[in-house]
Amino acid sequence: MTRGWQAAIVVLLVLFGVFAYESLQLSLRDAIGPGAGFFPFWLSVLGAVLALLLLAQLKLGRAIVGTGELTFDRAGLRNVTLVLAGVIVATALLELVGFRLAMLLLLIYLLAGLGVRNWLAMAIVAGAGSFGVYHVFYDLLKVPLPVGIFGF
Amino acid sequence: MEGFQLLLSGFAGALTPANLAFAFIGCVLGTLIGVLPGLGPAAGTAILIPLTFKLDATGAIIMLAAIYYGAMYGGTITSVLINVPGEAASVITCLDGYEMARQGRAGTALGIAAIGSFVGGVFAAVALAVVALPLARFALSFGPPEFFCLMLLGMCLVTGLAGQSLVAALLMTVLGLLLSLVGLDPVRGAPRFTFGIPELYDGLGFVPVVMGLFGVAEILLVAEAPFRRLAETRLTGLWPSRDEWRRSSGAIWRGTVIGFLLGLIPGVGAVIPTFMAYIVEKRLSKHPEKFGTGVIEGVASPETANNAYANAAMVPLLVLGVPSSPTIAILMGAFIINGLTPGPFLFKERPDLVWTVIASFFTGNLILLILNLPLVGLWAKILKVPYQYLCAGTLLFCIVGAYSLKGTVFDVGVMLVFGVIGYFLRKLGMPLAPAVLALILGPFMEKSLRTSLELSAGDFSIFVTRPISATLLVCAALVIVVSTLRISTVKALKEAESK
Repeated sequence: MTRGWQAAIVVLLVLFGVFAYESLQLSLRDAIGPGAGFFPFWLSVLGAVLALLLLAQLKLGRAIVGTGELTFDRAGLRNVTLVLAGVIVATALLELVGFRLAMLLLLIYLLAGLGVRNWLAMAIVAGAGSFGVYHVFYDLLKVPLPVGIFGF
Repeated sequence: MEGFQLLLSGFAGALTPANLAFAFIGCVLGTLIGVLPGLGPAAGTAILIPLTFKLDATGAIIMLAAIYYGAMYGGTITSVLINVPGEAASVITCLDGYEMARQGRAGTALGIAAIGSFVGGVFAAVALAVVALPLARFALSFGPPEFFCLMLLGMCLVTGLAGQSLVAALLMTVLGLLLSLVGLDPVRGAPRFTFGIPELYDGLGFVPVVMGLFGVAEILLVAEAPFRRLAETRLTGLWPSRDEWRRSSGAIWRGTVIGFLLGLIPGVGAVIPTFMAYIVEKRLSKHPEKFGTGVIEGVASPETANNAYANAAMVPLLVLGVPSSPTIAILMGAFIINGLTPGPFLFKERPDLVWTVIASFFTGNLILLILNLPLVGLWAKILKVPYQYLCAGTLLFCIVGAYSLKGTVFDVGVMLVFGVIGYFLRKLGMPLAPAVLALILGPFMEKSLRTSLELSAGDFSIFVTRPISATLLVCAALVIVVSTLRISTVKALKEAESK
């Protein structure tokens, strides 16, 4: 029995519990027919039953589930953390400093962090990916992107 | 005949300069996505949805459909040149395609793949034009109970074929359905599972969720894996010899039929038709032992089946409103974003759009053929783009896409959360296809269920007393039983092998 699967099933059980509880706060049935809580409540119950069944199957070694497992090597985990941290910070800064600056910084950070050492290529990609993409989406496709406190 | 007349009128729309340009851009972008390792058709289509926001509905759907079948072809290029399938459906092409490349026949392999894809795609589009109208008219007689049972059947098919554990696939379906219910209740308008967050009143955006599950998760997995430098392959002579033509022609037709028929069944996915086409070709060959050593039939048949499948998979979406794969579900999301609901009523309400889109499959496939034969060398060069640039570029497009949907950072946050969830689920091997399908069908399914029960005053027998819904329910039950038996057999075989 794999720990990753166990953890995922426990998380799902908690989620189904929350959905079931919230569904019960809504009406399961009203004068016209099934209420707003009817479908999600029974889905949550079904989900919980399935999660317990999978847990039991795993415990008995009967389930052929995916071959995956939550294993990480140090370099891989470093890259994943680096990418996620960068994107989270850039998202937080997006409306404050504007799309162009946030993306310029994100692209330089990601490329440098992932091992690019060609500074000219990095500058071109970061410039095109921030100012260039902004121009394409904002000016040509008329898709609104945020402008920050610096006015760009 | 009426179908062909409508198709001709569709060509009038599809051949306008604007729609031809959208099909062209879609084919180029789709092929690019297919070529870039790690980005499959689902992730690619999802992250490129924002490009279509300002287009009219017809142009947007034409472009996204072209991205989809362009990506299906693009995956072939990496399979042949570097033995890395750009997407799952091209796995089988590696066997003979890469061997052909090693023998200096990469150009011929890509040439026959392009021609086979064109034949398969065009045949499937013709067949779509023939069957669409009668099927849509039949589906117009469906009421809420029939639609509920149809969606249930579609979900059972996708779930049953999703992976090695039926329970895990069902679990993902339930999760997708529950997440689709966040927001306002579609029948009474009451807020559900919003936890006081105003942004959730509109529900979890389908695009940010899918971008997270496929796009961001994919990038995290790519960033995690050790980078592999790609070997160079020389490209010469794209046109097959007379003998190769003779050997490929039968394979192309068989691949077309297999791909088309399997494309009609929701849940089959693109992998099964390609494998089946390859196996059939091997069985019929006088020299089956040569398969895997670089025979042209081993490329022609699965590649044709792949594109025939991609075009045929539009039938359940356009006619019944049931997407058959995650990428098709994303296309359905694009319809919904444009205020359209795929299904039989679309043929009645917007025949101009439907037939223009169907006609665009012909022009798109032709563009793909014209584009790919001379541009193969260029695509091969793109393969050398270092993964760091790929990661950064994809994330950039994901952020733009999620933000521009409603102009809010909240959706970018949703995308990131689902990116992390998708990363863990994919590492575990949990099937994502049922969750994505459930996410898009959930609101329609709930509405059909509740309307049915309102019609019957809460009596569930409404689903078994109506002949069509009862038949669909029996089919759904059969799918689950057959899937259970299939998984049990696989498990027994694996246990026997291990002993």
